[in-house]
Amino acid sequence: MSVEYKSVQWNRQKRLYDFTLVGGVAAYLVIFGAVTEFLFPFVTEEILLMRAFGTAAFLLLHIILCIGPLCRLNPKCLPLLYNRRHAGVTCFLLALVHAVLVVATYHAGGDINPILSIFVSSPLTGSVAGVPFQPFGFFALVILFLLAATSHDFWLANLTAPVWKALHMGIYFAYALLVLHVTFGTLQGETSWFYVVATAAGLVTVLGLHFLAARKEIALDGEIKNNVADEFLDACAVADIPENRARIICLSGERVAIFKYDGRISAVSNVCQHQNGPLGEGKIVSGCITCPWHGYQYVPETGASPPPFAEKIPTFNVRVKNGRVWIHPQPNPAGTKTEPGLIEI
Amino acid sequence: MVLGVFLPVAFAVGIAARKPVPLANGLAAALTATTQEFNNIEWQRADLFAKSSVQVRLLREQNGAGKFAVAFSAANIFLKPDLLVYWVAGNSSITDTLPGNAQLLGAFNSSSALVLPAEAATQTGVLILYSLADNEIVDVSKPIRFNESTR
Repeated sequence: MSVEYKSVQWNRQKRLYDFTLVGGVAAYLVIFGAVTEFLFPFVTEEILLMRAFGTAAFLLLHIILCIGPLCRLNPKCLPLLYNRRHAGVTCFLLALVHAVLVVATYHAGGDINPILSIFVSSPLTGSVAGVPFQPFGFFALVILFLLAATSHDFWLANLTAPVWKALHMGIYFAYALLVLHVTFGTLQGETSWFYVVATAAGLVTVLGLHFLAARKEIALDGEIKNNVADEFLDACAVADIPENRARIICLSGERVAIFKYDGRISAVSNVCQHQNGPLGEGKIVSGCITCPWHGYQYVPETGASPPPFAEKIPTFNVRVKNGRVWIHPQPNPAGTKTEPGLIEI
Repeated sequence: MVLGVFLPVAFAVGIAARKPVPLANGLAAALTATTQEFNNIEWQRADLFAKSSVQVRLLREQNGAGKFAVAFSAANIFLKPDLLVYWVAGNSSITDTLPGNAQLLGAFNSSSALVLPAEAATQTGVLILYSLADNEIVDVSKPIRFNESTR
């Protein structure tokens, strides 16, 4: 964990981020309302609000999903990753308003429980076009709620990073449900192709960015098959590693970050214990490897966070010989101290 | 990866399966929104319904010819949720359930006339006010044949 970590930290960047987020959402809602009033003056206020909040949540979810791959493709996008959780909570709140309006307008007032009505109001007809779309939205909202409710670091610490990360990968399942919700809901009744094209463009953007990011990752994952000496593998040239930075290689399917700092070379697992951030894309700050995502820090030689924090990552034994870095493919247990390779002058 | 394949396929299937939204000029004549003009008031009565203060006007397309329609007006205090109007042939007593031969005329409102079936001009029947939300009969009119000149 970062030595500078504080549980609540309203710094300037965070305030600016949240201001942009709230301002952007508010501007979208106002513009959507104005345009709708102009183009479709017959639309009732309930329907207008329903559509405004629903589309805002769906659009924001697209932006949230694009931040990850954008950061993989261009580190300049990393500031977007900071505080992404606030965007996620905002997305849930927008979706919740949409859902409340929908239930109040279409499912309340009858003799059926409003929640039950979501599931029985559109019975299966056997045709693809008649697939009930409301349950997709309901379950997507449940997932968004779970993610929003567990977004605080309290839950990250208590659920442990792997469980928390696995839970929050549910965002993709929620996105899939919402695409189905829109496809078999709104798009079945709207005659304009604008809505179809807009939804398709969102889908292509999200999937396309993930595909491009994955392709870049796969390129990084090429196994090194160079010289072997005393079980050590020839990983790279010392000169290939920028000062206070790392080069990422792949060993036995796992990524390893080889850092160069203060005339030494150390290698650790590339995966941050916080949220699986790419440590090799970070840098050495105050003598510690610093994750580019949220600033968690580790001592290069031990893979352990500086006291009082307790996070640990696996380390690798390294040697430096004739300007080349040699690395043992077997990782040491997390937090194991290793001797750094000394760069020959 | 799975979503990357599944989602585009599901989206494409959903769009391909869209049913065309019917346009007004493609509908059957009976379903088009062309308004029928009922300009001639044959009579107006306030005593057809015993329990409700509803006024009924019998309208006709032309003077002495054409289809019949009924229009309603009521005091503001007469508020019933999702009120529908039915016509039922015969003069049997109807109390709590809609008979199977009830013909829906339309929603009760004061702005549009509801076209009567042709039988309403040739045989006696009753009008039923039915609340869909409450699932109950609100009122039943006196038996009447609509081609009778009444008042």
